[in-house]
Amino acid sequence: MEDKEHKQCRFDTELIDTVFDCVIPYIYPNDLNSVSLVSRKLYELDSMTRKHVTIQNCYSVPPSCLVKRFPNLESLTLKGYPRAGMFSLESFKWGGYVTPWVEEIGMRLKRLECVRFRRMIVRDHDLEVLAGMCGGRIKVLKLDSCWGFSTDGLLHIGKKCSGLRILSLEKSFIDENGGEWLHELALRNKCLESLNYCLTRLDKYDYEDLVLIAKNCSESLVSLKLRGCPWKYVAEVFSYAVNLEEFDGRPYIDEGEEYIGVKFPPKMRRLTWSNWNTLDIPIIQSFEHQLTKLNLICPFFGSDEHCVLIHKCLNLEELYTTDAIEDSGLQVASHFCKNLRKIKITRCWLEGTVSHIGLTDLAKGCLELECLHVNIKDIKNETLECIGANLKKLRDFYLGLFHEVEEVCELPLDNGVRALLTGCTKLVKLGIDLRSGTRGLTDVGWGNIGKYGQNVVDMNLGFCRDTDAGLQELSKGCPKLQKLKMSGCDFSQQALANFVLNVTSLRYLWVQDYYAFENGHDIFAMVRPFWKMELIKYQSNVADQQKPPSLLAYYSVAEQRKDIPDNVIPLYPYVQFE
Amino acid sequence: MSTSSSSSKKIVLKSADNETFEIDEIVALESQAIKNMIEDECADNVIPLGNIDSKTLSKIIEYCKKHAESPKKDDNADIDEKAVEDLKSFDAEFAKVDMPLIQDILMAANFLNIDNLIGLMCRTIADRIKGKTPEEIRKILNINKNDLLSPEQEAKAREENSWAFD
Repeated sequence: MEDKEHKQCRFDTELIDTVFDCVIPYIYPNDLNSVSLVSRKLYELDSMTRKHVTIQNCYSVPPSCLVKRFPNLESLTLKGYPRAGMFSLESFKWGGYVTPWVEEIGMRLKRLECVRFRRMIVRDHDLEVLAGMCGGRIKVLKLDSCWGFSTDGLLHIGKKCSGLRILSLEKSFIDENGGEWLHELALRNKCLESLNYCLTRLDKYDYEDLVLIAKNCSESLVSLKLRGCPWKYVAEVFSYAVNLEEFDGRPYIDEGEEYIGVKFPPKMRRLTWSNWNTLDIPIIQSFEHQLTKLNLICPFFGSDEHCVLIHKCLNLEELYTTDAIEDSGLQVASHFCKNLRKIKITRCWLEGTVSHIGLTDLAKGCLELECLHVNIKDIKNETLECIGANLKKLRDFYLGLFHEVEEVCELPLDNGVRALLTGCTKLVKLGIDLRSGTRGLTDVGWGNIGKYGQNVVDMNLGFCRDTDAGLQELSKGCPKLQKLKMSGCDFSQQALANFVLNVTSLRYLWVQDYYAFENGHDIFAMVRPFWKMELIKYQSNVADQQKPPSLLAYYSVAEQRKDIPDNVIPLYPYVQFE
Repeated sequence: MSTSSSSSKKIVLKSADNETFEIDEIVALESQAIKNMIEDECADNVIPLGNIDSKTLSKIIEYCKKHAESPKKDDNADIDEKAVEDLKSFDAEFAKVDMPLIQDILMAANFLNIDNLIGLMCRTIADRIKGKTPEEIRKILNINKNDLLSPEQEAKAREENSWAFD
């Protein structure tokens, strides 16, 4: 009898294994972490089959741990610097070197094809190592918002990574020693799909190499994002790259040249218009019906130009622009761009004229919106209520109020925030950046965010503090909150510590310019196993620009890091410097 | 449980509990494994399926019948949308069974090599555990206590999952 039972059980286990082997490729990526904890078999299966991992904080885990657990990874995204630190790199040293990662992943991850580093320090040597160890199989290399390397490092990539499909250097600070890297890339690569070095300083290269890339990769090239480039070459690139769908660049008329009309490739649908001339509008209008993405962050564009362009872009899904679009431009978008999924409106520093009126129009008209970022001069609860009532697909919302404008706002926004979160149940990212010196959210408002932000994972709150009780209220909710970033919210140390202890899902806390750090030692109450706390001081040469330090705290299964710069004080675990 | 349409060739399947099912050959051909057997001429009059019980087998036949009768995508590029919708809603209804039966069907479909059915069952399982905690998934999949990670292993993996790996 016993034997029979045993046999039955073993039989079941084997069969169940078959089930899992079949099922694992179908599991939703977000569920893999949970599935890995279910049983030994599922842990092993997930380990052997996981293809992609994103690591939000490069110090949260040692590289050896990643490669041991997921030896067959094909794709890795790794992030470093706190985003707020990116605005003052000169005075804000922190760390975030890719070196230990490159060595480990280059050696151990034999199937690695896609590497993305974001906000990290990359050295030329790292690129050499990476190109040497996995050059032939690398298909995607993204070094976005990175620094520490030069075109010498890129030369290794150009020479050895001939199978690259995507190369992105967007927003990286790269020392430029010549254009040989692009020349090598152009000579060897026949399959490039996307080349992106917009928002970098790179311009010392031969434009003929760009043309060569368009020629050699004429079938594959889909996206090209550059800096300035003479019209003559842009026209030539366009004539070869017949499948080009995306273009971002600043074409200009070279000395001694005349303005020539340019014909865009037939499939063009994603366009960044920066530093162009209003004379170009008719060219764009010839294919605007097929545009799905438009970036108009351009200093010469006012509301009228926006309206002229947008009202024919019936298929637009993504719009990036400045507040120069004005309420009238948003109204036009809300009428005509019914497929709009993503809109980001930044500040143009001229005359900010986007108000709650434009935002309300947008919420009433663009019901497909998933991502809405807006910098605005005033706001009303009613507007947030309107967003909550209409934008049921919203996943990412950011509201920034101009600090220096003294428009009358209907603050606090407690009720509006409640309505927003009750209505937009899919919201994962929430950012609210209000005006210093105003009480933008009372403790009740903070409580509302906790209570109704059931799915919020990532939160960014600025200049909207009331009292410590607000943070306490917030900590009673937000069951999924992983990342909290605050600025201009000077809660007491005790309040911060209690928050961390209460919100068990939290893995990352950033407190920008933390004045209250000087007041006592209560912050240490948040200490617990695996929790790391760092105090980051700004190094400023100008005495009167001394800023208070920022606090960064996070969970990490790694040992204390060894690359702590002088201006970072490890509060816990504390390290004795030799 | 047999199907009778006058002239077409019949295949008989025999379940583990010795129940026989006579079906049209075209229905049986939905299974790549049976198709191979027939093509290699190693199928006798009766094909014994010693690891599939009659309850599971009858469900599988129900599925294969429906799919064999529906117009195939590769036959005709623009089959009418109604047929596609019809098949979709059949699949959705078909998958509304309890987890043990889903697993039985999946194992049998895997053995018989019926790609569409494997996919359908896997998607169904993936949907049922979507957004669930490890503890809930254990219940849904009826995981044996002996198959769990050790508490130390689980704690380590949980920490890595919660703080590092997305």
